[in-house]
Amino acid sequence: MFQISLGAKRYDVIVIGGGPAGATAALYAARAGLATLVIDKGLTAGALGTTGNIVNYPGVPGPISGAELVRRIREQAASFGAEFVNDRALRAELAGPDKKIWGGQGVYTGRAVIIATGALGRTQHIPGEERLLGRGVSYCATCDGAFFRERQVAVAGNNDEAAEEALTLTRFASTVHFLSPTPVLQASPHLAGELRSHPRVVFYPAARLREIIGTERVEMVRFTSEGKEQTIPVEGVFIYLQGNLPITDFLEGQLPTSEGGCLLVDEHFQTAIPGVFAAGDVLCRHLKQAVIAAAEGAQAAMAVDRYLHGREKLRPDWSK
Amino acid sequence: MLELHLTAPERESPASGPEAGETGLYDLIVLGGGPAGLTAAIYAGRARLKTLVLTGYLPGGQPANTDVVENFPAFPDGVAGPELARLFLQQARRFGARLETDEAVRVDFSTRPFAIHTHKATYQGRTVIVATGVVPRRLGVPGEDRFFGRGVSSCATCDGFFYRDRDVVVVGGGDSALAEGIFLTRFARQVTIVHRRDELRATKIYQERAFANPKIRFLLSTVVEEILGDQTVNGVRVRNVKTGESRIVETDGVFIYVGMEPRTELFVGQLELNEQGYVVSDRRQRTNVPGVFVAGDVQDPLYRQIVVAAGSGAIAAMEAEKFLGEYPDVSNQPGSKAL
Amino acid sequence: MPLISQEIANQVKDYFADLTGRVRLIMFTQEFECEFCAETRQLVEEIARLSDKVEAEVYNFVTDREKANELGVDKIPAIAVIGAQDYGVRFYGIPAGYEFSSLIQAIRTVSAGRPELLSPEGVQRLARIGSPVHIQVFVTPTCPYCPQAVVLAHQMAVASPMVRADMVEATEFPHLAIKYQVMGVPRTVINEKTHIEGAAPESLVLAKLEEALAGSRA
Repeated sequence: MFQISLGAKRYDVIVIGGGPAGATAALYAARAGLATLVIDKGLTAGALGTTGNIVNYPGVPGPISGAELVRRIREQAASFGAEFVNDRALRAELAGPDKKIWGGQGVYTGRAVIIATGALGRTQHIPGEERLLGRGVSYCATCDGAFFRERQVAVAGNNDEAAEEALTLTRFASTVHFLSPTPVLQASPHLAGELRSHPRVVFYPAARLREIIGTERVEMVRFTSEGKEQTIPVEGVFIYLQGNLPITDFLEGQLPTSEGGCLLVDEHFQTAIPGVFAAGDVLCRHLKQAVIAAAEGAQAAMAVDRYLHGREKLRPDWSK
Repeated sequence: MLELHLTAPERESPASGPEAGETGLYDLIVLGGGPAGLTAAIYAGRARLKTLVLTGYLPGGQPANTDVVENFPAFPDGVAGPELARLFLQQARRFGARLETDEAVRVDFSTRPFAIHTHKATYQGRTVIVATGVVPRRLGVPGEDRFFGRGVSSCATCDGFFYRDRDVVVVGGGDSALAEGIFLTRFARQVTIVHRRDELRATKIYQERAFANPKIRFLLSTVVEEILGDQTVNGVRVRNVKTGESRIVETDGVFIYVGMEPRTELFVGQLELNEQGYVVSDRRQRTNVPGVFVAGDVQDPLYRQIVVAAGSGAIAAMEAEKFLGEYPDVSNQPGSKAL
Repeated sequence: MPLISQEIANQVKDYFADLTGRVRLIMFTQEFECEFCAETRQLVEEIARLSDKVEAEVYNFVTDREKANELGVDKIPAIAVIGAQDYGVRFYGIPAGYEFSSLIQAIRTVSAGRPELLSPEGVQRLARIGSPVHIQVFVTPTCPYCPQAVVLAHQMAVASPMVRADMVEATEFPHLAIKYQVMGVPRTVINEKTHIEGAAPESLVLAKLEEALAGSRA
């Protein structure tokens, strides 16, 4: 279902984030005939990815896992022609008629953007993380992995994204020390299996990263794993931990946010920049529920349709 | 296997007043049993609010009348409208909501607990969610009322069968008109879509499908002036709005899909309504009356999607729960108000 | 090949769990020239297996003509839902689609022997009826509004010995659809002449019923 998209094409709309908001937006946009691309980190990268038993999504008696619910919405979007790329947004240029999103695997261009990145972001609070960013601390293995050929690196995280990035690093690094905050990985079984059995990976369960140590560059990491504190020498630290803040770092301040870091939109889900919309948990408008996020995604997509076609009134897309 | 729909049998209708506990008071009464109202009931049930849903005569709402729903997220192969309606109803029941196929005829939001009067009984709610939806707009032309049910209809899925190998006219230019027109080609010999503008409002996907269908033809820039017939419909008089020319189009049936009107007659003078009659609400689905919330198409003239209605129902229920947490006491003792 | 899926069968069993009185589904069919007879028969037999309070009896419309006359059955497929008495509850045509619910509801009501879904006022008004009333509710299986009209009519039949009510599946009886000019469903026809469009509330149907009788007395 997922096609690798290398960004040569100019899309009508790029959706950043493929959770219920983003996938529903993609469903509506694709069905309206818009060339749609979804940039997404993977089924378990978002809030629903780790939710087990959903029974209150209307129309789906369940229990259904969050990942399966999102998978179905994505399949539906893909059936109308939406394309998906497994990547993450690192940078964006949003002003003007052509919006550009830089990912780890390429640059994507679109006439409109819907930001549906959710709220699993974190503040940088590990001592040393901010200071050593770019000097051993990174959030992107595909970008920076090559700098660590035959070196030791650490990866902190526990989902599909972290696992995939760690596996990418095994192509370069001599050893990948995988620090999972949970005892068991919350990634898809085949990824978890591949990771755990890789000869270059050392797995530390229930590991909490305490400090990143180094003067000019990263030299060591200090962490506890299953209660025991350890310090190991590494030259790179790749961080994929999750928090509970709206993910807007890739915007680099181009859009105003509330005090809580939430994106601000008008009643049609448009941000301060024309052609840039947002939906879902990244808006922190309501309690986090899949159906609410989906509803916002649908509305944002319909607003994008209007924006792109310059129509005065929204055209409701009735299935009736 | 035969296609069978089973909605749970109705419980006994109350002799006077509701059965909910001794006080006969509900935490939440939902007016309307479409996707908005039922999602509200699901969320209210999960929050353990004692909930009553007055579904009216079409439990499940507009989806129950819809052939196929392609864009409700989580159904990659689409879903039959009636099936989706059944799933919503079943889920609401499973979470403990009481569903009645009854309809409010009068409401009183002036004091709490709010009073909801139906044909059969009076119910009281500490909070209310208005989710009464919309109804098909009529054309308002001569013959329309006279022939309603005898050649004039607003429900292709209900009545399409009667036009097997006959000719029908569909009035409207939006997604509904085209989708239902396409549906009617399963039965009808010819479907003529009549629309007053010179271009259709419908989204591309429906226009493409309609244009590709050999049984469908279009009369654009055309309005229906009168529906003609004897015992049943045999034609429509139409006028081209550009040339002014009038003529008669022979037809056996007329299906009207010219938009919807909000069902808000009951709330005039009690809830703030906008110019078109939709209930005014804020982002938290609150109305001008504290404790009365609104969800679904009745407050949404713009989007009108099942998922959008469902989302607003979830928000309304969570806001009702929050409201009850902040204002648990009702101003009157139940039963002391004249019913 | 069963007509009722396991999921629905389980639900029906639940709904039948509290049945009190015995119910007979008396079905009339014939060997040929009846499009839905075989399926209706199978449906009735499968339903009867879901409760030991429900029995199916199948008769031949041609050879069991006397039985048909006794029950006033004039077309097939026909189902008469009989409890402690014959309340005049009939289904003509296959009760599939949405009408399946109407049949399950009819079984429950006939088993209870009282019109549990009517208001007390409605029951009183029906008690005052002194002349025969024949209600025919035209439906199609895909009409979601229709069961309300059917269920209401059957409630009235149970409420009053003067009233008998039929569900008539319009697609199987096109000559009747033409006779009563049914082009939209549900259509309720009372005593041949009085018509109601759509699923009307109890009070309106009662008013039309009384009107139909007043008219015939004039």
